[in-house]
Amino acid sequence: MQVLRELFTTWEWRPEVLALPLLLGILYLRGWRRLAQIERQRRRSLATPWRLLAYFSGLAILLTALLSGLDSFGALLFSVHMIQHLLIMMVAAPLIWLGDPYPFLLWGLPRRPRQRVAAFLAQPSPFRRGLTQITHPFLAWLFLVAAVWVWHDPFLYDLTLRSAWVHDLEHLHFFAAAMIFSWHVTAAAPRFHRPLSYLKRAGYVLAALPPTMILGVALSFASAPWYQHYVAVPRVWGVTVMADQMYGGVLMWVGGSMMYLLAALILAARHLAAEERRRGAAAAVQLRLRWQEQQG
Amino acid sequence: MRARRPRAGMILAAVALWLALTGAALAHGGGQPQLILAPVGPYQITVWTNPEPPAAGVMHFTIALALAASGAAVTDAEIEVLAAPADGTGEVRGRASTAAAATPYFYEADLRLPTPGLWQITVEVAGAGPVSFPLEVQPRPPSLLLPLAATLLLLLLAGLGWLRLRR
Repeated sequence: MQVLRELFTTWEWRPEVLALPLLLGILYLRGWRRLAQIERQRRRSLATPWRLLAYFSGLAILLTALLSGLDSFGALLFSVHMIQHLLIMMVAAPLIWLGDPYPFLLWGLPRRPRQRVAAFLAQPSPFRRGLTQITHPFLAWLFLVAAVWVWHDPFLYDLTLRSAWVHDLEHLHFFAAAMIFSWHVTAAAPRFHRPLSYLKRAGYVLAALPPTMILGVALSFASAPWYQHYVAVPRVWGVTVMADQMYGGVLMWVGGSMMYLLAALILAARHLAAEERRRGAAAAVQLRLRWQEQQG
Repeated sequence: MRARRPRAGMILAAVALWLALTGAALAHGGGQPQLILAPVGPYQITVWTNPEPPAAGVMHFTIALALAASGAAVTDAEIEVLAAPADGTGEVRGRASTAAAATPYFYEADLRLPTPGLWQITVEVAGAGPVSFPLEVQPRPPSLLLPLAATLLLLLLAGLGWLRLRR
């Protein structure tokens, strides 16, 4: 209880972190309400409460990870720092995409900017071509794996705890990498790439699992502390340096793997459901043909 | 005649700019370790300074105190930071407290070191004793904040002027 109380009663309001999510939240809400109004008469609407909930949960989790005690206690405990990173990469980013932000953010803009942005992103342009190339699924995977591996190098990791700017850069890299990776996994708009099939997406998610797992295992079974910063700080909540490192490693190994497995299972279930629907539709067509033959 | 309403985009841009500029000054904690687990009485002390490299102006000190025997955090000590320039004039002192820190496990203090040069920093833990380290303070680098804000403002005005001309 003391741990939770200290973690969630210590908030640091950083305006530069709050500004963009706040702005995006306002735009999304405006767009969601507009689309809900426009689509009121239709049976199926894009503006579902589920999407709204997913988007705002994603933003709330991102802000909690960056502004709550998870951020300040990350300087004392590696395992808390790991929870913060897992929330940013594996929870906030996919939830934001599940809210299908593109149409809502677009409709949150006034009419002329909305038309301009939509036209700009829809037309073939060097910007779109460049963005399509640098966010290719393979590069997105590589960017994600690099984010996890490079920033856990002992020198760089200690540097992030010495410099606030480097620390922010690390979080930005984590979030950007997770957003690009999750974009392919959720196949949300705007679609610059041909969407991968459900099965390919499940395989894509699973491809991110081994690098995270290997690093998690290495941290869990290390015989010496990897990060000197944590040796120099006082021990809190009775956790020793080595136990803390092991907890962090296990969180990365088990927690990270579970999130990827869960996503892969959901995608596999979606594939099976789509297959069933396709088979059902084919059987219905065959039945109809047979009925027509019998009639004719 | 109906007064023109300010555009929502401009207001949001101005708010975002203000937030970005004020936020840049709020970095805390961390910094360059100057003492790592240095013994002081029954404790071990770690001291970080920020900015790096040390520059004349406000110097931020983050201090962590632990029991030497168990490594457990000590949160109720009285700690004072004292900075003395090499020529012995203009000593500066301040109390480090957990109230200003992001967590109750760090003590933090801000001291204004007005001149560049060699300073002797002493951290005194009440009832345990002092520890010292030298700190070479560089001249303060010119602040980029005002030129940056002025450039952004000029760009904003130029953009608005251009939009008016196009109409």
